[in-house]
Amino acid sequence: MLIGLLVIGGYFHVQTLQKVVQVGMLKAIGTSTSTVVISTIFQIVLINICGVALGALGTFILTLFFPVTIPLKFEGYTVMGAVVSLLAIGPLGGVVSVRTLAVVEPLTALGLSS
Amino acid sequence: MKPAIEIRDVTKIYELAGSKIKAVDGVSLTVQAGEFTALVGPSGSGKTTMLAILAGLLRPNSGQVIIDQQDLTLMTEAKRTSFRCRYLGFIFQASNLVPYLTALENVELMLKLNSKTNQANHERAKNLLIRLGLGERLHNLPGQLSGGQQQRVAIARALVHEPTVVLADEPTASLDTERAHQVVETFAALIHEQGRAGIMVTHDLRMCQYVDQIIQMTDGKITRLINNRAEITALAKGK
Repeated sequence: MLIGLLVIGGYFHVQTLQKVVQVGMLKAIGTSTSTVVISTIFQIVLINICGVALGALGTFILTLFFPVTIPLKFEGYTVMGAVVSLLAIGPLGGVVSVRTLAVVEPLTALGLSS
Repeated sequence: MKPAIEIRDVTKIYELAGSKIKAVDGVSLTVQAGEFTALVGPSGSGKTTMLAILAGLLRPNSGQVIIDQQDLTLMTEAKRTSFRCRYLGFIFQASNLVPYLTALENVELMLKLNSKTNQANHERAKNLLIRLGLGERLHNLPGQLSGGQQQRVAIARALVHEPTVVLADEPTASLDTERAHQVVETFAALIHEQGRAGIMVTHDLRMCQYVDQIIQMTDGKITRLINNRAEITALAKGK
């Protein structure tokens, strides 16, 4: 769970840091912080859902080809538990990213900072 | 007629490592609608700080910044954000377009932020890009456009929502001479045609030939104001 949180959180944070200047520009031209925050949360949730869905599908396909000698079992409740947990921790991992973008100063678009 | 921009005795002081630096020192100026002004001066003269104050991105320590008869210095942060969205247009040094939106979508972004998306404004955005010579590039992503084309998209984005004031921060810094002239000439023509008040920060005095007024800043103060055509031309030609 902790590893999932760190990996997903790290991924979103790297993506976020690459967009600081762009978000600064958006704020400079008049985008409100609430719009930036809502948009970021929406994108994090959407990407997380897509990621978990693809991961679950990939896992299911792999189980069809696992030889019986491999001691791994993917059963209904276990898989559902993992999917629900990942759906929950994804946005949690993105909290730092949301905060990072919320505090970006529009001055960064002019290469200034207060 | 009331000026589009009126700045009264504005001062901005930065505190760095215990010492105080006056980036802008008692500056007053006015710009009328339809007037294009260049803000020039050496690095550290305070022109970008002045632009940031004009944009409501920085709050001055004292003085008033009045745009369209509204004092930016009295507004809350949220009010200034919505003011920028409605009344100001921006052109940055690097075009700063959203990389995953097409040229047309980038221009329409300002319409979306202002809740002005309708067919008439869609056509207006398209026509503005066509007027800027980008009729064949409406659906291209910024990465597929040259630096000059990207700056022209940025000009369209800055004008599409019919702002009172358009601010440009070194818009030609990343362009070659020919494209720089094309960009500023078109920008000036649109400022005049549409009756906006334009302020351009630039290091390149050659670009001043397209403006109506030159304000020279040194050490945070206005040291020279030129609004005589012959003098403007002479300065732009390096005489």
